[in-house]
Amino acid sequence: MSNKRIALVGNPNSGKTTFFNAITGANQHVGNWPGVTVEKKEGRCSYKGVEYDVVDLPGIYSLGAFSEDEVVAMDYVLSDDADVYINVIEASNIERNLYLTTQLLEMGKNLVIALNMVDEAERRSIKFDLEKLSKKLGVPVVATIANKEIGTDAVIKEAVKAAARPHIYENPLTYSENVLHHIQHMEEVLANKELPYPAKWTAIKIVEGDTHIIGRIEDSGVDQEVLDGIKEFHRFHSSDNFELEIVDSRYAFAHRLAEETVLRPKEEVTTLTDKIDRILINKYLGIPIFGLIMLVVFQLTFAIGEDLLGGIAVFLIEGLGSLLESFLIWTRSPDWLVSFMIDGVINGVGAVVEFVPLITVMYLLLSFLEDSGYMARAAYVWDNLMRSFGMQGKAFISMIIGFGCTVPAIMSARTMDNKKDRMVTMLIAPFMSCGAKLPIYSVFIAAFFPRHGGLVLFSLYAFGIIVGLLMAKLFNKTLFKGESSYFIMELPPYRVPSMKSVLRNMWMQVSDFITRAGTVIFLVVTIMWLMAVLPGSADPYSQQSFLGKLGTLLVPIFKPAGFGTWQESVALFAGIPAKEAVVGTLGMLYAGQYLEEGAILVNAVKQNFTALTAMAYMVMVLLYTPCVATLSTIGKETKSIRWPLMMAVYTFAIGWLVAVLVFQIGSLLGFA
Amino acid sequence: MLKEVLARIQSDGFLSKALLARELSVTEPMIEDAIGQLIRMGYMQEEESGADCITSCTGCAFATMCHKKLVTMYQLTQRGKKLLA
Repeated sequence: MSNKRIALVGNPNSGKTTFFNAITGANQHVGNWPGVTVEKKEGRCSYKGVEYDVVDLPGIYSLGAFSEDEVVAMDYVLSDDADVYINVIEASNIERNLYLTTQLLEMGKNLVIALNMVDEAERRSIKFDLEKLSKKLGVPVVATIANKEIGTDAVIKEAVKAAARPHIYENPLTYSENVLHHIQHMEEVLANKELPYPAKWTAIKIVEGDTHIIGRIEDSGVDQEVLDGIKEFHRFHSSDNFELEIVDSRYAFAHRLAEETVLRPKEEVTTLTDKIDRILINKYLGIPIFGLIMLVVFQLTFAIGEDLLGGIAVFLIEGLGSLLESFLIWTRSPDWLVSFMIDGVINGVGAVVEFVPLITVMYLLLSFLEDSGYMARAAYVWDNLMRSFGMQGKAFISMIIGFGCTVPAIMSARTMDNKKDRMVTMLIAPFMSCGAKLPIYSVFIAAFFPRHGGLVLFSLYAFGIIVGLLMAKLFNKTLFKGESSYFIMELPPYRVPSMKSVLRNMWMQVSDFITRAGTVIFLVVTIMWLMAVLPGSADPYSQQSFLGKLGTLLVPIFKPAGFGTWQESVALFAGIPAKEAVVGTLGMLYAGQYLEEGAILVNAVKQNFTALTAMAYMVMVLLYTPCVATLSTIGKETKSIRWPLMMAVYTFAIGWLVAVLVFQIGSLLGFA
Repeated sequence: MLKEVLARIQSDGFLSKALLARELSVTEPMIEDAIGQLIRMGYMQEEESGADCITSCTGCAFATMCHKKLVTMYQLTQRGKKLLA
């Protein structure tokens, strides 16, 4: 006579394998389940001189057909190979583990519960009423500490007893009236038919719509009447939610059972993340704290990136320029080449590269916040405010991405299924100040607000968010009406940022900035240089050059905003291909103009702007027409030329209007 | 519990799993399981923040800036919305 068989079943990390090792000792062997790569562990244990075969089933959370492990476990349980099942449950996590238990009970399996790792639960002050739990489940429950072999013998004793007595099918679950009605109806259809599984359980699985089980029933050669009954049922109830109701009944049972038999400490164990979150994502403090953190980020950006390291970059670029100029003169290079290399490349592209330390520090700090888990909270704390503007908190993630670059921010709107949310997010993304605008602000801040760099920068970023939200409200009231979607989000725990990850993230942004300086910015500055030195009959960098003439045409548009010289106007024009080119073009044009005086860009800006016009210029840069890459992305995403055109025009209008308001109101208040 | 999870998401908007677990008086792993079941049954879907392009990232100048996964988000599907209607 072959040995009786015991199967171990339980959730991953329930200590099931430790339990298996404890009861089988060295008496075990490992193989694979047939046809799959899932490990199969078998062994033997003995009780009162009788040997029992033991099989360790894969760790699973539920009996379904959704993973290889689940299929193996499900098929084993369906095969009815074992005489008794030991369901190993992790005591500290009993509620979750009981879901699988309810499924085993539903199947009518001969069960013994090993409530494992009770010592860990005790350390967390979790107590159990084992007697009540056993009574409610209708099966023996034994407390165990498998790694110390405590309670394992008692479990085997109960398993042996259970294997010896005749098993009576009892399903302790209660279903909703509607579901129960259909289960009973299905039982009638199945009555007196040859079935591979118990009729009651088969009826439940048919009503639940378990395709794996229904497939098995169909393949088992059952009566055609049964197959017709199953088809008929699903034809009539295809839009019902019986599966959800049945799964919910199992959760309700597990939850109720845990409530009645588990005593948890009143004071829940609060993690460090919980404690930090109580403050950082507090309903009232969340946004002010976010503002404060960003203000510190911008202050540090200027203190380190500009005041401490900025001079080094300027020294290197200027030194390189002097060396290059001497070399070109020494090699008797033509004047146009000297002009191009010094005015175009060094003063144009170099003016952008000088801001690498600033960009590096800012992205280092933002990457630090991101890796610490804080940035994920930003979307959370902004949700309520975003909703009052007709947006969802998720849109704030696109906005945060927009602080780096607008193109991925627009593409991230793709993840929104709702057209209204997607369109509004795309249309307001350009108001989030991207990294390319940082060099422009830095020049003006260095010239006019050197002591308040962080505060001015913070104000610009905050103003961009405010304009974006106001426009969102406007779009929601006019162009896009409709409901928002709903989300649940998983916030990662706070952690000490990994330097490797922070540096990698920072380098991604910085390398992109440098690459753009060497490619797009170089190209734009080259075109601007050509337009500034041609035609040959005009003085280079003069109003008679092609660029001067174009700038002169634009001057009347910007005059009301206070920055009405052709150089300032044409630099904004150059910013449409790429925003960094504003600084590059100003650097090139002012260098051509002030070269003899040896003035650097900041000094040139000081001579051509006032604090008020500088502020108006920065606001214009913040809000006006986004770069070509952004417009092209909008075109691709909306599959239309209408939206990028509309965006180009409306953002320009907003930028111009606000810049004019800043200048005019400032002038009236006497700041001119 | 499953319907309650869906309903809370619809009424409260952004929620953390921990907060949802506290509000429904269940453990966080239960909420994780419930969300897994709701996704499997087609009432919710998982979404990722960050860009999601149909075009290949190869050669895209913005490839390095995309694929940032700040948070994992779950959204109600049409079926989920219909259930609550």
